[in-house]
Amino acid sequence: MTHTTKPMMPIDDLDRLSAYLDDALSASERAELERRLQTETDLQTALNDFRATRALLRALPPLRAPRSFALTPAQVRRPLPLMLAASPAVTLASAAAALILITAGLLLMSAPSGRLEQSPAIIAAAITATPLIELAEQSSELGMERDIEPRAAIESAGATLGAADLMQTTGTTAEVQAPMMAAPAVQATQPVTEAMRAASTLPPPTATPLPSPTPMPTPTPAQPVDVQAESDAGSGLPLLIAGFAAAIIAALSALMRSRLGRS
Amino acid sequence: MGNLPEDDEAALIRAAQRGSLDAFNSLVLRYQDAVFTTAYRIMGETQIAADLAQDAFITAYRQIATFRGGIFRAWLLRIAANRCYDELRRCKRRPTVSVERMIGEESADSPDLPDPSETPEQIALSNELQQAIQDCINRLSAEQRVVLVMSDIDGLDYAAIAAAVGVALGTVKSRLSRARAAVRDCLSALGELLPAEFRLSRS
Repeated sequence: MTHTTKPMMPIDDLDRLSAYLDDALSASERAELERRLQTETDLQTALNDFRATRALLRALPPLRAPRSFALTPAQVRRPLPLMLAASPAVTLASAAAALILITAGLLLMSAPSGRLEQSPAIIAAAITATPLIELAEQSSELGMERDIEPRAAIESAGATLGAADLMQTTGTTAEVQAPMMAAPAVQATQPVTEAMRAASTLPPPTATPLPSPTPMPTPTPAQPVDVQAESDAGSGLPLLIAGFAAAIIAALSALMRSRLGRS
Repeated sequence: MGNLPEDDEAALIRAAQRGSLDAFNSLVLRYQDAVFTTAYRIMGETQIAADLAQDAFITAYRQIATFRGGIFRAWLLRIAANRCYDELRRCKRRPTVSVERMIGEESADSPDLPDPSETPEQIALSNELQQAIQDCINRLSAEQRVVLVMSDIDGLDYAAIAAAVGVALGTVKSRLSRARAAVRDCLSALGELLPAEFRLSRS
C-alpha cells in the first residue's frame, strides 16, 4: 500500500501467486507461473511475502472458548408463536384473505346505490373465484355479472366453482364455502360472511344465465337479502383496510419464514 | 479434546439428528474452541465472538438434519463464518485502529490463550504479535476477512469457502489474494516485531 517502494504487482499476478500457494492453479497456469518465477525476481519476492503472511496467519494459536457453548433445552426451543406466524399456511391464508377483502371492498365501493341488492351475490361469486381481480374488472358494471356465461366465468376465473355456478346452486354450497373462506380472515371477514349468507338465499332461478342483456329481476323484498344491501359505498372501506392489513401480515409472515430458514 | 474416533463422532451426529441434545452438546464441547476462534478472528472482539459462536451452535442444532456427511468441523465453521459475515454486514462496523497505536498497547480484550503445552506444534508468536496480526485482520473489509479466516485460520478449501459465502470460486480466489496482500502490507509496518522466519521483503 502506501509504503510500497516497488512497482505494483499486476492484480492478476497477485491472484495467481495466492492461488499457487494454495495449489489452486490449473496445471497449465501452474507451469507458466513456475517458468516465470525462475526469472522474475519481483514475482519471487511477492510469492515469499505471501508465503510469510500466510505462515503468520496459520501460526496464530487456536483460542479457548471463554465459556461453554453447550446448549440448554430452553435455547433450542423455538418460540411457538414465531414458528406459527412464519408457517406457509399463515402466509397463504392471509394472502388469500387480502385478495378477498380488497376485491370485496372494491366491489362494494363501486356499487351504484340503486342496485345494491345485487352486490352480495357478486361478492359471494367473486369469493369463489381465484383470480378475483380479473373478475372484478369484468363485473365493474353491476348487473353485468349475470350476463356472463357460466362456462366462460369458470374459464376466466380458473376456479373449480365458477361465479355463475355458485349463483345457480342452492344455499348449501354457499354455506359450505362461507366458513372455509372466512376462517383466515379474522374478524374482518364478518361483512363478507354476512354477504355470502345473504347471497345464498337468492332464489336460484333468477341466477340462470340469460342470452339477453336484460337485467335480472330483483329478488323479492320478502326475502332477507338486504342485510348487507343497505350498505353504501362507504362500507367497502373497512374491507379495503382489512385487506391491506392482511396483505401486510402475509408479507411479514413470508419474510419471517425466509429469515428463519436462513439462520 | 479432539481425540474422539471418527465413528464416535458419526454416532454423535446421528444421535443429534434424532434430536438428542446431549449428543449434540458432546459435539459442541469438541468444537467450541474452533468455532469461537473463527468467530473471534473474524469479529476481533471476545464478547461479540462468544455471542456469535453461541448463535452458530444454536443454528447448527436446528439445521443438523441437513448435514449429509462430509467434515463436520468444516460444516460447523461454515455456519459460524456465515453468521459472523451477516453480523458484519449488518453492523458495517470496521475498527479503524492505527497500527502504531495498537502495537504499543496490550489489548484488554484479548481472549484466553490455551496453555502452550497443549499445542506444542504451534510456532510461538508473542501476544503482542498475535494482537498486531489480529488488528491487521480487523482492518480488512467484511468480505475479505471472512474469506481470509476461513482459508488461513480454518484451513478450508476454496470450494468450501465459495459454498459458505455464496460466491463463485474465482471471487474467493481474488478476495483471498487481496486480503493477503492487505495483511502483508499491514504487517510489513511491524518490522522488528516479526520473527526472522516471517520477515517480509519490505520490512
